[in-house]
Amino acid sequence: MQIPVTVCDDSMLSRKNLIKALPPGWLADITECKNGLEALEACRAGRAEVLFLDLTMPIMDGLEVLERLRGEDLNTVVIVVSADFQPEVQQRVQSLGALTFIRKPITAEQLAEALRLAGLL
Amino acid sequence: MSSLYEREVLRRDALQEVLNISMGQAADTLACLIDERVHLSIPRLHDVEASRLEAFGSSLIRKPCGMLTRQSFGGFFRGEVLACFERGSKPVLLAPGLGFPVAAVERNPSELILELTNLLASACLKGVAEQLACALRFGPPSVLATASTVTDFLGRQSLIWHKALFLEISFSVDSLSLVIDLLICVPEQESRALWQGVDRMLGQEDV
Repeated sequence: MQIPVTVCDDSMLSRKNLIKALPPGWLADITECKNGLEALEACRAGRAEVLFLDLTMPIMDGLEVLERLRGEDLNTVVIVVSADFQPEVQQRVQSLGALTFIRKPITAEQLAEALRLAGLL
Repeated sequence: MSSLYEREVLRRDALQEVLNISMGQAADTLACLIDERVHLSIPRLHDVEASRLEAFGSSLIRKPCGMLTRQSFGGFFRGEVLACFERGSKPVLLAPGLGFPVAAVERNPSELILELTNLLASACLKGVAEQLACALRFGPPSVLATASTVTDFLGRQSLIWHKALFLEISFSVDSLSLVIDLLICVPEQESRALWQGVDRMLGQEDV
């Protein structure tokens, strides 16, 4: 069965690179979003068992998505993928419920490790 | 959409992402020194004509106004970074973190501001060079004006370019009331090399 996965990043290149780096053979039904608001809607629509979430985005940033998700009873595993890797930012996303943090540019190994951590690989 | 248009969209998106990653590195460098969270803007690209600086000013996220510094760079492509330390920013609060005597910075903040220019500009551009697999070298930073907007300053100069690509990024530290806008200016004749680097990174040199 395919796992509903949402990839949210305002950069098209980043989204493509992430999707390309997903483990081969891992069955995912992928939704792409360009900002946090779209991602939130994807989560609410059940299209994000896993959400790969950038932080610095227009309209709604990743931190706000995490804050809003926390207030809703949604069964979404959030993996933050960001270039902003300051220790305070990493602590903040984890305190807001993200499973883990991957620093950009991502590698296939980091992605696989995060999915293993989520029990999805 | 034509494939040429699609290619242009992809290139610009890629360069913005390259900048985003580079800014993250620069912000982390600064955050480690001052032990404060540094906020990042979303990087933006502007195609600027020297004869239409006013339009450029209107398209910026803010109209940076304050102490202006510059730092030139060369190598795979050439250009300069214009940094604006927004009026009202308090660089003196950064003195302890950057190892500057507070009293000296209060008397004359230029040296600290030049240090910050060098730190942020070189960290950003090193990140760009690394991702585009090219080499860049940097000149020393200098103060251009103690209080000006970037576009007013540019308007008073004899510019060596008619068209240029400007990369707009900004850093802020709320707790220190600090806002720094960086505009990386790459004249049109130099931007070809930059785009060539982007194409190489995307693996579409022959497109």
